[in-house]
Amino acid sequence: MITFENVTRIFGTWKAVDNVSLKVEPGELLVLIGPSGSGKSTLLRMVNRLIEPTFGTIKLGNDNIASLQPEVLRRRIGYAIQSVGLFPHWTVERNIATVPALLGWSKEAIAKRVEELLVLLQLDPARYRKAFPHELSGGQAQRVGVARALAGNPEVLLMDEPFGALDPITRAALQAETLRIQRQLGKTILFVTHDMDEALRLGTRIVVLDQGKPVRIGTPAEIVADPGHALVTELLGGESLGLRRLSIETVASRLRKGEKAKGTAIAATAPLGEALARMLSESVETLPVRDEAGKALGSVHLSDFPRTLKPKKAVKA
Amino acid sequence: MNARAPIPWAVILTVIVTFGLPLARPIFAYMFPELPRPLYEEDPFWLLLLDHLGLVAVSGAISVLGGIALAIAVTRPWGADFRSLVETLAAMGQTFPPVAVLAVAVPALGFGIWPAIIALTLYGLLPVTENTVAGLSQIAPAIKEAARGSGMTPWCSNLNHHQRGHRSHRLDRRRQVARPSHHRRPQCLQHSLCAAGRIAHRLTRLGAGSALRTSQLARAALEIRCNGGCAMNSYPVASTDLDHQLAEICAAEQAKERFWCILESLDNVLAVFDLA
Amino acid sequence: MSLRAIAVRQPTLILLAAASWAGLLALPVLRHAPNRLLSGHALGLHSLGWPGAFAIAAALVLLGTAFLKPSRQSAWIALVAAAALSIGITVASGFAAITLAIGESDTARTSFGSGTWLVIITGLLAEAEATRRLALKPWARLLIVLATVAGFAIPALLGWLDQLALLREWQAKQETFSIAFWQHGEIVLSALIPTLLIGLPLGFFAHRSARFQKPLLAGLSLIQTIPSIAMFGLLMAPLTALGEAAPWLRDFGICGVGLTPAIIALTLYALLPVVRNTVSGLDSVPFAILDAARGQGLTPTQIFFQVEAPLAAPVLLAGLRITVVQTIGLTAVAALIGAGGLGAIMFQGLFANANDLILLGAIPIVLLAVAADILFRLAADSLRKRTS
Repeated sequence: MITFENVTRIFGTWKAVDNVSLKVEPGELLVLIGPSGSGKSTLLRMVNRLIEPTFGTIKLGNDNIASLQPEVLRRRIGYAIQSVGLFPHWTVERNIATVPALLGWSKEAIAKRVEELLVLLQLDPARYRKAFPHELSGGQAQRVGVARALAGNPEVLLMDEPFGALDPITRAALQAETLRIQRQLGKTILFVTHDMDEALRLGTRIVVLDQGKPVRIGTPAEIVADPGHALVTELLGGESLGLRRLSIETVASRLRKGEKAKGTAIAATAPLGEALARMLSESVETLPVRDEAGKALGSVHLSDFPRTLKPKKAVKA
Repeated sequence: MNARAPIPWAVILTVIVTFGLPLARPIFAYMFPELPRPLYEEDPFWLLLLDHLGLVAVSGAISVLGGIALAIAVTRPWGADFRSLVETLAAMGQTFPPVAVLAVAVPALGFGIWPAIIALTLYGLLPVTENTVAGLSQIAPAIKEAARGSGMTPWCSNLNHHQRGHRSHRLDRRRQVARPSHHRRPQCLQHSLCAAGRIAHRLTRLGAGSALRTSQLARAALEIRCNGGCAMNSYPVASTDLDHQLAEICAAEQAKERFWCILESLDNVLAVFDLA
Repeated sequence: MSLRAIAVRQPTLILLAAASWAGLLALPVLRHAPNRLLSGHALGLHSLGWPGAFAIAAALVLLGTAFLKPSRQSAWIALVAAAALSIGITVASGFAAITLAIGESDTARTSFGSGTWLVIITGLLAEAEATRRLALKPWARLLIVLATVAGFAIPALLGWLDQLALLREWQAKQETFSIAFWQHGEIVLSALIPTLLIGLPLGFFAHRSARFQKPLLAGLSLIQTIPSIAMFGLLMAPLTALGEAAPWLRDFGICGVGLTPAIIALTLYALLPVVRNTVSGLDSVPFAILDAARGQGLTPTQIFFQVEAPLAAPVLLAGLRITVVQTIGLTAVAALIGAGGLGAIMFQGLFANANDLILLGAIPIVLLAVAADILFRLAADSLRKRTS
């Protein structure tokens, strides 16, 4: 969907983005993560031409974005930022309707779309339609921000640390929303964050950037299994890296087929962490495993947990 | 003298004009031939200049001093009731055209120097008062509270002597949830008068809550200090991560007697109160 | 009731009430003179007769509210009492003047004494203070202002104040006064048009280019330091010379005295608040909002007119308020170079030593300035309610 070809961006003498070639597949949620100054936001903002690359090309679909008018391009791309940036003098309705109005939709189509999006983001239309941004809480404002980004039915959504300024509970809720919306609508999302938990939770694939270069690209499971770079290990929590695997890997990967065990069964799709927690609270070392329907599949043993997973051929940048 | 400095040039220009203008009579006579008296000749210019400066100086001085005094009075607790009245008066004063005020002074006070000075003083009083009040109320209450709560050098050096075997600090129970900031390197500030001020400044810059909370924070920050290894064992063992961590930090830094690990403790305190 | 129950609970009201009582008792209430040039002899409170009782009652109530606990009710009582005091003493003076004029020659004059002025002013201040305490919505505040104005206007229209010296001056100069009044308004408006036409674009470019902003603001600030009288005087010479050199300009009304130098000077003075507030208004729009606007796909023009300008408007409105008030005041000075307006009446009084003539010129100027200030503030307040 988005292709970066040898993209470089230099500010003065500093290379913010260094010869990046990357492909974002349609329908995936690609997370850009890295320390401050790693170029992730710069890379994101080059997609909708808020920043122009010094060298290289970026393609949206098959179109070279440099050949399109910036405003036309931006109306095809949804953009959500950390500080939300809702226009304070417009109602929620008018804010969401920004892009559709620019695209010249009819009044009825716009009203219908606003209603649709408010419901999608779980905001009561009757209550929030005519509200002003200053009346909203941080979480509500960001929901409106996401709604605004989705309003014009864009092909791609750019999100720049959208949940960074929210409290952990609201953040978790909105992360769940994002996953749900992405699966429901099948949007391609390019997501920037500095929070590894968020990246592991949301990303279909994760790109770790350091000083403008990608140092590791892979699915969350691949990255946890084989960090491949000191920075990635540090981002994953250094020594508690092992604990990360508990949330990534499922019980199914440690299943001993056909074996019986005592106790309440655990679902095969449950993360290992849940199995460990149950074992600790019930003071057992084995648990029976069932499938979604409830059929017994086998059992899982605590002693099998530390087994190393054969790493898939990880993609190093 | 810097060739671009405006003040010396302005002074020189004024002197030239004052003494040179009467000499320019022929020029004005040429420009305006129909006027029998193109130049004002009744009083020497330098005398007029002196009169003008005198009026400005006297009324200005009284306005400034009086205005500041009034502003200070109004921002004290005992004068707080009058503050809105003074602000209303000042706002009205801004609206009244100066020329109208001066003109009205004539029926009220008559002609002459002293009525003029009185009118000028009263008129100048209002902007001075308004701006001084605005300035005084801008000094964040936090800094004042912190300055008061933490004290000046006498307090700090007092602590310096008496803190061996000092009592345990009694912080909020919220300390229990302190998040260890193990990734940050501690910095120790040299003990100085400004230490308390720096804390308060940093707190206000972070926009820390209400004045009361910030003073609690400032006091707490100053209480968490390390001063050499000997005070460490006086800290309660049943302490939270905060103390343990501080002990490690301070031991590691081998803080000398007059060094305070204030900044690090500040970070922790802020983390406790969810402000970092 | 023990003495302890009687405590001063509202010190500001006590101060103002005490001031008005000092005015009523210790200072002259009226002055009666054989002609308009002499200040005449002073008269005390007794000269007001029974209409004065109303004012005295109002003053007592005002004094009483100072002992009440601060509350909405006490604020309303204070407001009404203060208004009644100011209006009451004016009306009582009017009636007293009518009484005093009976049997006197046509040249005799009765005017407010310093005591009455003090009472009126403290009454209005107390009213303003009470209004502030009540913290009413903009439209309610406007209503109170209008009611007070009506309180002064209706007795005047009914002819109750006709024998006061101020009104006598006005009667003698009715036509001159109304010409001057409209002239004053015309000058202010004629200066505002070039100010906005020049100032707004200048402010826009100053905001966009820092290199241009600094010298521009420095230059305009420099202009502000020039005293207005000096500015008008300095403009006279070159404009006269211009008029001599190109006589056809005189047909357009451009010459060294009158409207031309006035409007030029007024525009120059008005530029600084407008430009400075345009710049600071545009600066106040948060970068996040502009970034979001660009990111949505708004063109630069759309961003300016739909996002930046509306958000910068409140600050600009404050700047306009300052400009208009300042211009009204400076127009009074312009009368010295022949531009006309209310200032002409004021200066005529000054030179002729006729105090009430001075007041006839000065009071309308002050009222105009205050009215403009109040209207702009109310407009800004109602605008602010929408965005915060």
